[in-house]
Amino acid sequence: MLDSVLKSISAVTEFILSISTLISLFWGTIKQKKIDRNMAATAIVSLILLCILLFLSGKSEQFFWNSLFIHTSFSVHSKIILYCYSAVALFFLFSFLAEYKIKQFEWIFIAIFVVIGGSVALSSNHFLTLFIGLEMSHLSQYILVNADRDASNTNEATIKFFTINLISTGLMLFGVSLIYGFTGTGFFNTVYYFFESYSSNFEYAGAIVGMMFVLMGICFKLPIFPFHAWIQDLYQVSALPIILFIASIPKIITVFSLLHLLTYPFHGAFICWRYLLIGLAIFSMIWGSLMALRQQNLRRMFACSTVSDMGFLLIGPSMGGDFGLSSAITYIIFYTLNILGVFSLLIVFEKNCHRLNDIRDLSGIIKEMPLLSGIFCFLILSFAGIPPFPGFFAKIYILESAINRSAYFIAILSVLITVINAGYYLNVLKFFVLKSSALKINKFTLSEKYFVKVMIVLIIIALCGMVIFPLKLLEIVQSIAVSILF
Amino acid sequence: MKIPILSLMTLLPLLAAFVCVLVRKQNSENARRIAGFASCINLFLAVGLWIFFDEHNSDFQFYESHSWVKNASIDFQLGVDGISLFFIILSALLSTLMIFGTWYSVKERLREYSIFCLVLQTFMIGCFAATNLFLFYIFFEGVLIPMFLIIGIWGGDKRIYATLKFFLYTFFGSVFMLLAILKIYTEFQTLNFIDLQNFHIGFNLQILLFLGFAFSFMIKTPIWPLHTWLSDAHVEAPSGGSVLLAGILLKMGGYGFIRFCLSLFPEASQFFAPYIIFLSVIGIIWASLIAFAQSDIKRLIAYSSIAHMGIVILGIFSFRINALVGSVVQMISHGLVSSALFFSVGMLYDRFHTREINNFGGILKIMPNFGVMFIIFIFASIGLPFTSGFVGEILILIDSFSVRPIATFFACFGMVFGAAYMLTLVGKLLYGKLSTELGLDSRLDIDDYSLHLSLKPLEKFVLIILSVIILVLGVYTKPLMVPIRKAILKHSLIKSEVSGGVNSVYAG
Repeated sequence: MLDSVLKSISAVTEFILSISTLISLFWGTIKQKKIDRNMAATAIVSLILLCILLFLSGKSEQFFWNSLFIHTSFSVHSKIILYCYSAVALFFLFSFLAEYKIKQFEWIFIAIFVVIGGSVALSSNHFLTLFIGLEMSHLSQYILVNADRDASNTNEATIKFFTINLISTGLMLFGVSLIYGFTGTGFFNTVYYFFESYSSNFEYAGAIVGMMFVLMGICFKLPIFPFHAWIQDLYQVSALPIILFIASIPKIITVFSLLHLLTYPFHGAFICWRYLLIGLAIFSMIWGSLMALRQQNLRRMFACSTVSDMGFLLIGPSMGGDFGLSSAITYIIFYTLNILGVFSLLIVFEKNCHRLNDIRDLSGIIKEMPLLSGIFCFLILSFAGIPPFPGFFAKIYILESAINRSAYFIAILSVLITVINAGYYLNVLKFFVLKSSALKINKFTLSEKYFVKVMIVLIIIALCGMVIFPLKLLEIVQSIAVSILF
Repeated sequence: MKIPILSLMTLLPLLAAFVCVLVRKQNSENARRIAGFASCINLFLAVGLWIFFDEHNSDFQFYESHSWVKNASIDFQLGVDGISLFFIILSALLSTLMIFGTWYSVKERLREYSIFCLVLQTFMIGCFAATNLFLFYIFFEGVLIPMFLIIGIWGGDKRIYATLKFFLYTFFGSVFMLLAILKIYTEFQTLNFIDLQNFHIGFNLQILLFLGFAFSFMIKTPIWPLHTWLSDAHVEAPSGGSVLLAGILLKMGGYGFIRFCLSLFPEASQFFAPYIIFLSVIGIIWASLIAFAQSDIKRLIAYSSIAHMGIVILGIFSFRINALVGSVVQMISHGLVSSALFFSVGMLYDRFHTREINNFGGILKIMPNFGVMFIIFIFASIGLPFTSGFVGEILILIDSFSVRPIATFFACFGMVFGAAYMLTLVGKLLYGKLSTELGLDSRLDIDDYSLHLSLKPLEKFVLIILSVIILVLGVYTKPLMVPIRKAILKHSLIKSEVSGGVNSVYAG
């Protein structure tokens, strides 16, 4: 009895989440119109409970809902990671939104809808399910980024974000229709067999073109170099809690969807998408790093560095094999945790002095909050990928996968990019640690200061734990990678 | 029960650093006491390591292996042989002295200073003790961060430029070593140095890997033309930072060449030896000539370090047993001498707030004790007999002359130039009339100055310890030489050449 319930749990995860969210939304509308501690707690607890349930559910492959949904080790584990990180991100979002005068309670639910959409995308077995999932999560994001709608330029950035992502949606849908037209199906497992049985006929070439469009659509959302134009403005004008959410959770969703696509339906066309991804990876690394190097604005710098880091991540899957795949998964696990830590600290800093725009606004904080500043330095160095900080360990797996395939050019290029990255991250440290300033710093005013501190420390402990005791993590990652490659 | 002495030595400073984090800001003096105490314990452990070290055993001793990332062969493996033993002791000694020698000069942000000193100590000892390539890389790179902060926070006026240059330059060099290490792993599925010694690596692969490793070591050593970070970093660093920079960090390059390049890539080393020796000889002459022209004492010593390390590299790449032993001895000796010189300069700077050579004069009159010890250090730096500087350099020059006479001929100029600029420095600094530009009140008596400016007990203690070690090693180097020689004889490159048994410069 219990077994059968657990087995079907992944079919109804999204249902449970959506229904509970809708009920609390309804309740919130009737009762009050402010962010409520209980609502956020309910959402976070339900995410964690779903995590546990998913963890207990079997790992055998199953299909649900007319084979539109799939239950594999990959989907289960990626959803677990998504839910865990969403719980952390929602916690921060909830803790900080009120501080930014964004008191409407809907924002927290819109954020949950991002997670639900992502969850649908991650367990999809059909291009339409994937599309619906990704679109659902992105539609919620368009609303979310405009939460702070009284601030100047937010609307402009939102419209930019919306329009550019619409193009990506169009491209992706076009690609899906091409694939459907040439293969006659939209199911991943059938498309998988179509691509596996290579032939040089017209249908195959058409489906390849469709695949390219789908991948480009995904690259818009990551973002990867020529499709990145929305990210800088968005980061610059949005409120930091929103950026924290946008920079972390959609990344997980998109990266895992991309990995799912690459290794499941498009696996047979490895030779075709490999060079596309390598090219995109190289350009986004170079562009992202060089642009980040000359940014004076802290938020724009993080936006550019995101482009560079996502390019770095693409190297993993483009090297193929379970090693390349698991390296990318490890990287995104470390990277997102890092993002959550850095942005939550930036919010704490911003709430205690003034709006952080330029990098030089950071100076002077270290004297007032030495412990949190130490953690911030730790995370920045981790971003830069300098040993012995956690980010370095995430990077070496990707480098190792490149070396494994004798892709020396890419390996050398990516370590050079790492050096450039170190340059602008050290620039942050330069203003943060080495330069003093006579800024006026308020006392710690956050109402949830205790829990926020605890959560930040937990993030650090998790990062260090994954470095010092990496075996369990690597085991899980390896099992995910092997499971989707059969 | 076996005591994991190497892990203890590596992790004890880190633990002490965590304790320092907990110290309140108001009591930051306590943090320094903790740091000093932990370093002293580490120094005792290092001496214990030497006492219990079996000098007739050429294998790695006190070997420990704890699995870390099993499926990537990244393990926590530590061990010492005759070469690394003395570098570990040197690291423990200098980092202890760094804390005590700068007791009076560092006054602000003491807690952070102690934390960075301790973390630096962990990385330095770990770097010399690691027998896993990846672990070595982590420690090798990890050194950069505390050093970056030490230079950047407590440094001089242009500290931020200098520290960024230092960090990015050395980081740029060592990422190639990372790639080479990853390549080794994909080829041999192990990163354990002891296992790797048994593999024979193909020549082409050796060339690639050697380039990756050598580039990072060449920047760290540094070899001309990759030395430009050094002078800036030295000048801007606080004296404690300069001490460890010259004393230990530069030695990591030389140590890396001996430990990894020579034993893992012997054929590639032979292939590249002429080029590297060419560069090092240019570096010796170049750095010596530039040192002549310097008006800043620290910059002068920094350039002299480049020249001395050039001689070390010449010794390493002549592949002769005595030259190699000489290189290690010279590195140890230079570690002591240059750090002693940097301590002395730091003490002068604390008193007179200038490092311009022309501003000084007649220091001997007001600081006689300091003057005597400074002269000892200068003599050791020149390489006069009865100082430790002599033993290493003479071994290198005599032995490498038989294989590379022309290069050695030019390298000898380095010693001559060294004598010239160092003696000029002594002349201007210590002798002559008491300079009026030191900001001293001319109405006061000389005795008043000496009372006011004389070395404080801890400063005296640090300088006396260093000068005693330098003099003792100059006369009695055997305790160093036996283990070093034993360890170096294991290198396949050396074995073939020593069979003649021609050399016995020291009574062995």
